[in-house]
Amino acid sequence: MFRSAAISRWGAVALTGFLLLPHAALGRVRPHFGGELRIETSGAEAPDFVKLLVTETLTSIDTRGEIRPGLAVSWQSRNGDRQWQFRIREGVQLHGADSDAPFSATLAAETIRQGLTKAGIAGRVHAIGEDVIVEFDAPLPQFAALLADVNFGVAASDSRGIPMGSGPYTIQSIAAPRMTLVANLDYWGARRFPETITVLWGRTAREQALDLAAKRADLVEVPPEELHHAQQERTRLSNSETAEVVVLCAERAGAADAKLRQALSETIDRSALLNFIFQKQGAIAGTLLPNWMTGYGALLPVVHDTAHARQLRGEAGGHVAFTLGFDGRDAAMQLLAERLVLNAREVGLTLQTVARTSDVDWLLRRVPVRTANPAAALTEITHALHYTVELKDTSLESVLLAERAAVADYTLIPLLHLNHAWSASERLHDWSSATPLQPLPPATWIENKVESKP
Amino acid sequence: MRTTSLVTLFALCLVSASSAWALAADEVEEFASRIAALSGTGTATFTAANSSSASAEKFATFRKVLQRSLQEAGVRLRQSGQTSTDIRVTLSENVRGLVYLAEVQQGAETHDVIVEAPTALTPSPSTSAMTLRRTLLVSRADPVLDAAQIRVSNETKLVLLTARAVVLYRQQSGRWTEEFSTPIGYGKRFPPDLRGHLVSSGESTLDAYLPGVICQVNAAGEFRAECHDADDAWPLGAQAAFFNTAGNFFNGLMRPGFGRQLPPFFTAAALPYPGYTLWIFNGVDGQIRTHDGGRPGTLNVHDWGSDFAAVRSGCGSGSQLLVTAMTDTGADDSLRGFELVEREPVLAAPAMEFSGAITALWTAGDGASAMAIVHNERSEAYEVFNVSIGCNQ
Repeated sequence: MFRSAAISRWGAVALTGFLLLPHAALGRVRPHFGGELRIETSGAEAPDFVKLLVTETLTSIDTRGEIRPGLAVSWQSRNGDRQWQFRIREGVQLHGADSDAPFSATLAAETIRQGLTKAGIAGRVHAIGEDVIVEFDAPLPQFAALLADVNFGVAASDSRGIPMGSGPYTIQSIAAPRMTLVANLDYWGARRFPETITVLWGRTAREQALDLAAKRADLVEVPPEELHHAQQERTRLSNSETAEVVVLCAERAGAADAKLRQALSETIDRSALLNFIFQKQGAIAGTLLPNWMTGYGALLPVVHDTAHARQLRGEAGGHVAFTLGFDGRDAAMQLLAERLVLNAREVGLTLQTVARTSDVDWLLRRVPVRTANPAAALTEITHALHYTVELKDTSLESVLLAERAAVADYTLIPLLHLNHAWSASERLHDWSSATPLQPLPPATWIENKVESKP
Repeated sequence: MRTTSLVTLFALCLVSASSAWALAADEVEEFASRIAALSGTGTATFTAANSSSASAEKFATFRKVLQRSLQEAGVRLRQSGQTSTDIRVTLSENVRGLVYLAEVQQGAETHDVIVEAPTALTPSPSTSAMTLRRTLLVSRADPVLDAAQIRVSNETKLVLLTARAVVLYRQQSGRWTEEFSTPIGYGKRFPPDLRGHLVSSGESTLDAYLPGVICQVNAAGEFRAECHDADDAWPLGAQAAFFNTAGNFFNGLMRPGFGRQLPPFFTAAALPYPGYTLWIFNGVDGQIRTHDGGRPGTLNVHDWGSDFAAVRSGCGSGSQLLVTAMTDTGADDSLRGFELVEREPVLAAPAMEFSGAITALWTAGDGASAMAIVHNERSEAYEVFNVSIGCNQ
């Protein structure tokens, strides 16, 4: 209840000063359950944060990158992080009361087995009673963090092949590119506010912006290329932070010798790339992991030294020409590639841009940052770049050591950390803590009334 | 030998009363000892840079304490000149808090030292969300101001304070049943939006505080309440606050207080943290103010109702605030649970809805729950709930 200062007329005189002060937002609407939340994205499928509302993982990663219990209530590792044991949560029900595949250690084990295959990690998985045991030949200290990835979401399938998870929402329908979720009233955890969530994917940034403006969508992505414009338009934006790293990867036979690779890295004017192509929406990168996650960016500074690059180029000798590939559907990457050609030319390196992602010497890659946990993020990012990291443990020092090794020979050259954000309609409330990795905070609720323009 | 101890701690605490800095002494000491282990004793050049959001003052103190710790570890520091060891320190930060970075260079070899000094644990609403739990104790027609449970002859009883009486309940077959009622027996005309508070004063006894009145309630033997005019401060944990006898708020004067008188407030709550207690006040001007015993502050919130209560749950950081919604009197209300992380409120437990306005909310005597009084206009009853916070994991 919002209380007004009540006072007798004698006391009123003394308090006049306070009573004249404004009472902010008196009568504000309170959070309530219900309503339809409409999300649009550009991806080829529903975004991870939506999938995780349906299928839950044994662990989860919070916004600080710390590991939290999920469908596992506890875990421990033995034998130098080669063997992991997870105790699964009791009282969890899969969607669909008639499911003949209840949540169990067996189901969790099968999920982990499939997830490991997708992640390219060899391991042996067993279910024993209420525990899941996972064994690896080599230490995998970051395994508990990796298990929070959506690929490890525990679900069975119904007769139509639709996933039945245990999360706060169940899938009501899927017909690509649209999915509808409804609140799971039997959810074991804290219930979310919106009654239904519809997701429409494969939408361009322009289509999303138009739908948001026309009140046909409530939550849309804002890619780095559009972020500056969205800020100028005073669009309602989430916190923006790095959610993507742009990396120049030596694809073919290491793309010549190390001196040439270093020369290429040192001749790149990353600040110009960031300023002109992405309107300063991010940061120049000397690391794969963003500094907000690690804080150690100062130990791997960006080197832009054209004179030294020329010297290295001279030491390498010969005339060298490389092909530089990029995704032809990505206009920003094309611009970026063209600028790299100019940078390389300054030190006598020839790059030829080609709009393809295979059979090239160098390839420009945009890799999403999908977790705030440094050890897991480095593992996932390097896996996407076909590089395998080995961590001694999950400390920042070990992550730094592994990252140094990954970028030391310039076959992976980090260029930019790009900021992403989400934009929301005014129907969304309690949304201020939204981030690119968590665009739908648990407290967010939505007004039921929908005003759609024709 | 670890000798930084009190001097270091005192220096860090002097800079800021923030818990993150007050607790960072151990990490600075660890940082220094690890640098010293790499550099060995002897002379080293030392440079330090700040790439964090820490103020110049904080950074200066960090550098000073670190240098002292290194010197105590046997490292002789120079700002420049020829030495075999070069120590380059950067004060950085990440999403978890401050990060101390050092590069220790000896000849061609460089080693890194990283020590994280995380701030207070951040509860993640997505994963560490807590759940509010409530139990309806009793429902009655006349306005209830507060409720408290006491032990009487090895039996737990419930005492309600209303505008006119103090009522004793005993539990029978799982239900609270009115056992005795004793009128306040006092002809004083109370102000509108009457408030009152029950505070334990001993075994089987309570003090009932009303504006300008105090009643001694004795539940042992004959149940009785003896009331008299009194302007005594109302006990609110370790502090006591003077209530405006003609109004519905505290006038800001407290004992032992915080040095200066606070602006008038509706509600106060105390959240314990290592080394200090953070007090939070809901001002009658709509401002949420804080005081840690050393410094005042404000919280940037705009959707809290007028009442909150601290509850010790054992979840997350241990204690949370239960906060009412900003609704008009008569509208349905809700409670949400908040944690204060780096003195910023973070939602820890989603809203629990009530059918009516919460007219009173006080921390219960055991500190582990709160008593919420809800005026249900549909049933025309005042419902007394005991509300606690449950951990989801």
